[in-house]
Amino acid sequence: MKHVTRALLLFVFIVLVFISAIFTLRALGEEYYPGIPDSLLGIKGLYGYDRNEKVIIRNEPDFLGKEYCKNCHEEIYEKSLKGKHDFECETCHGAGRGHPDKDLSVENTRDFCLNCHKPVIARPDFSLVYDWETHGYPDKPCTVCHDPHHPWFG
Amino acid sequence: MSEAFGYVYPNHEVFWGILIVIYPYFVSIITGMVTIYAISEFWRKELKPLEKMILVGTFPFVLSALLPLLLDLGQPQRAFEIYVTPNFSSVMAVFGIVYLTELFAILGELWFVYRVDFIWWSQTERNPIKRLIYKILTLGVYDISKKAIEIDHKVIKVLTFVELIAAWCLSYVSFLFGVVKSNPWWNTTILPVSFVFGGLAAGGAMVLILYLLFSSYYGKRVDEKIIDIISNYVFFFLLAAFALEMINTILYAYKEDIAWAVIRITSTELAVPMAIAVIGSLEALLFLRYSRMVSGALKQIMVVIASISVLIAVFALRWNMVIGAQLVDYSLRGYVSYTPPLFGKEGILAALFVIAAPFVIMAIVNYFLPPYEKEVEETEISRPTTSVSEA
Repeated sequence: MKHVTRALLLFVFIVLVFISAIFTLRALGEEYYPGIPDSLLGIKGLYGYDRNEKVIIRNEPDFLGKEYCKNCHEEIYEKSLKGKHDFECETCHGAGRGHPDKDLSVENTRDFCLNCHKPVIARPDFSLVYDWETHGYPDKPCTVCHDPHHPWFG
Repeated sequence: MSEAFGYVYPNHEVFWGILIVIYPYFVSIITGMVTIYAISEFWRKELKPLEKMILVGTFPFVLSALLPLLLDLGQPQRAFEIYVTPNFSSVMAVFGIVYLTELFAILGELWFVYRVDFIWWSQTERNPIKRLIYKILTLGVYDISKKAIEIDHKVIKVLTFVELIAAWCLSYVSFLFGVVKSNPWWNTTILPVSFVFGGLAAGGAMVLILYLLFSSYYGKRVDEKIIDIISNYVFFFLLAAFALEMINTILYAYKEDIAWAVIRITSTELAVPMAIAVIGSLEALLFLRYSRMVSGALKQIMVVIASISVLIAVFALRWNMVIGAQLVDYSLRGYVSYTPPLFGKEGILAALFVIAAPFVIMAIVNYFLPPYEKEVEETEISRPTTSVSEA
C-alpha cells in the first residue's frame, strides 16, 4: 500500500504545481501574463506583444500642439483664438518638431488655401468660395487681402 | 497551392493542411491501441504478454499527439494559455483537460506495470546513470510482496478504465474537425461512430506491426494465437467502419439530396483518397480473413501487408474528412483543389517529420523501459527445436 500512497502523493504534487502555476500566472493580470512566453523567447515586433506602446515610446511625436507655439508667438495665438481659424497652427505650418532650429514655411499660393475652401461635393459649407476661379484677383495670392490668422468676415 | 473551380466565394481557402490530418490520425491510433490494451486487461488474458509492449507503443503517440497542432499554430509558445484561461463551454478547449487525463493515466499505468521491473533493474543494472534513474523511479519503495502486486493489478484495472474513457473522448475532438467545416457530406450522426471504428482498426493494425517489430528486435518467438486474436478484432473493427461509410454513401446516392451533390462535386478531387480508402479496406479485409488459414512467415507477411494497408486507408479517410470538408465551397457550386507543398510549415516534409516523431520517442522509451528481455542465447538454443516441430 505504501507505493500507491507515494505515487498518489507524487501525482497530487504535480497537479498542485500545475494549478499553482496557473493561478500565479492569472494573478499577474492580463497586462503581464500573455507576454511572458513571448518575452522569454524574445519575440517582438509584428505579432509580438504591446507593439503600439513600443512604437510610441521609441518615436518622439512630430506634432506638438498649439501650446508649444504659444511659448514664442503668443500674439498670433491670441489673435487666432478670436477668428474662424482657431485650429492647430500645425495644420498649415506643418509639424513643429525641432522648430526653433528649423524654419517652418507655409505655401503662399491660392491652391494651398483652396485645399480647404474649394467647393467639392460632400464638403461641409464652411466659407466655401463658390466663385474661386474669378474671386478677387485671380493671379494674386489670397493673403494680399485676407489675414490667414484672422480671416475677414469672421 | 489551391486552385478554384466553379463558383467559389472570394475568401475560400484551405486553412487546415496536412498537419491537421495527422492529428486525428494519431488520436485514432491512440484510441485503437488503448482499446486493444483494455481488451487484454479485461477480457482476453491470452494477450497479457503484449501489455508492456502496447504501453511502450502508445505512450510516444500520446506524447506527440499535440505536435502537429503546435506546429500548425502561428504562436506555439502561447499554447499553454488554454490551461491558464480555460474555456469550459468550448468543446475544443476542454480537449486540453481530456488530453492531460489521458497522459497522466498512461504515465500511472506505465509506473504500476513496470514497478517490479524498476525494483529489479535498480539492483541489477550496470550503467550507473540508468541505475540512478530506476532508483528514483521506484520512489523508494521496494515492496514486491504478493499483496502489493495484487494492489498493483487493481490500480492498473482502474487506470485502464480511465484511460479507455479518455481515449474515446479524445477522438470526439478529432471528428469535430470534420463537423466544424460541416458540409452536408460530413454533417451526419454516423460520422463519430465510423470515426471511432476506423480508429480502432488503425490502432489494432499498429499493435500488430509493433508486435512483429518488437518480437524480431528482442528475438522472441511470434505467438500466432495472439496475431489471430488481434487480427480478428481488426477485421471486425474495419468491417464496421467500412460498412458504416458505405451505408452512409449509398443512402446519399439513393436519396440524391444535397449531400450527393457535394459528393459529386468533390468526387474528382477526392478520387485518389477515396480509392485508397475503399481498395485498401477491401484488400485488408481479405488479407486479415485469409491470414488465419495459413501459418509461419506467410501469415506474418499477410498480416503486415494488411496492417499497413489499414493504416494507409484510415489516413486516407482522415484526409477525406479534414481536407475534403474544406474543398467544397459553401455556395455548393464550386470547389478548390489542394496539393500540399513539399517545404514549409504545412509541407510534406514537416508531416513526415511529425509522423516519424513517435517512432523516435518509442526508441528512447524502449531503451529505458524494455518491454521484453533479450533472449538471444535462449533463441539460439530453442530455434532448432521450433523448426523441428514445424517440420
